[in-house]
Amino acid sequence: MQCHEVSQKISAFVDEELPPWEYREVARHLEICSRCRAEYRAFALIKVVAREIGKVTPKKIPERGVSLEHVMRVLRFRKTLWVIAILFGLLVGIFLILGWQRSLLDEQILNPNHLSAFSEDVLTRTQVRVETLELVTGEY
Amino acid sequence: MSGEHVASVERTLEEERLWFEERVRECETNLFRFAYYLTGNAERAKDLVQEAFLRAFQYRHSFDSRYPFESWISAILLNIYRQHERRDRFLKFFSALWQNKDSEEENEEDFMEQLRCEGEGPETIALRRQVIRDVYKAIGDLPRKMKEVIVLCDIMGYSYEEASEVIGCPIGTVRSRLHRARRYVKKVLEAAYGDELLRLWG
Repeated sequence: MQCHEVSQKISAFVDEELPPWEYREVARHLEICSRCRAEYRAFALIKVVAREIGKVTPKKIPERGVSLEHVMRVLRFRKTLWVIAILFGLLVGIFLILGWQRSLLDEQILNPNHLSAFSEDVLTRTQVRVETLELVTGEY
Repeated sequence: MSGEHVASVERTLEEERLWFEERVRECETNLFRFAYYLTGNAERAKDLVQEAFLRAFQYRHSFDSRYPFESWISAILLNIYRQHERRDRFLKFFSALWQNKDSEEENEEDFMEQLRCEGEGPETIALRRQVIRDVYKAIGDLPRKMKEVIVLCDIMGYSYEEASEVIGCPIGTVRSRLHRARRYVKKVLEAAYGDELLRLWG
């Protein structure tokens, strides 16, 4: 077995997760190759250190300070609330826009300059309203 | 356990709840450790575990009793973690600007406080602590997929087969990801200690 092949299998060799024949091949190579042996030792050391880390059972403490992430995480649990708030906001927005347009329309209807644009024959209130509406919507 | 579960499905909700609580008690500590090493933060780990338990209870009927309960619930936790990671990607960027490194260091300090190192003399002990801290940090900096594998196999001590069940990928993928993860950690250690590490560690 060549160095580059062994190098790919060292990690599994450390974990003894290789098929027996491959395991034997790698072991044989490690006996003769100091560079691969050094890599094997480094990998084994990482495993040992990681196991040391794994022996620690962290404290179930926390609550330290406020972080943006934490705040958002708490808020995420109220997702439904957010959806309702957004829908409500949209509804209010739509009403505001409609109200604003209505007020613009009223202004146009009640504007005497605007009314003078129509002939006197048709200058009854209802007709003006209809024609102003048509004017506003671009159909006149 | 399998018969027990099958029977429990036919039982009342209260009995199911008791069965579930018993399973939860058995694996709670391990699950918390798993979540902690994934997130590097006890608070987030606690949230993850709670959410995993909730979801597991919700989908308890989909549990296949041929597999260990711990692997099943670990897979659920891992999925939740992945979802959170995806959602928090944008948040993390701003959070990094918002927070300084203090809280991360505090987390690390908390972890190191609980670490008991053995060795001959205070120098060896200090060095070992330093190496463990560096490895812990390097694992924390790994890309998500590699981190999942190294946490499961090296820190939690799962076999490749168990890890592949939890992650939901073939054993070959576990093997290659673990290899790359260890290589990354090795590079970090080499940069910090050179070739002397093995001699220093003893």
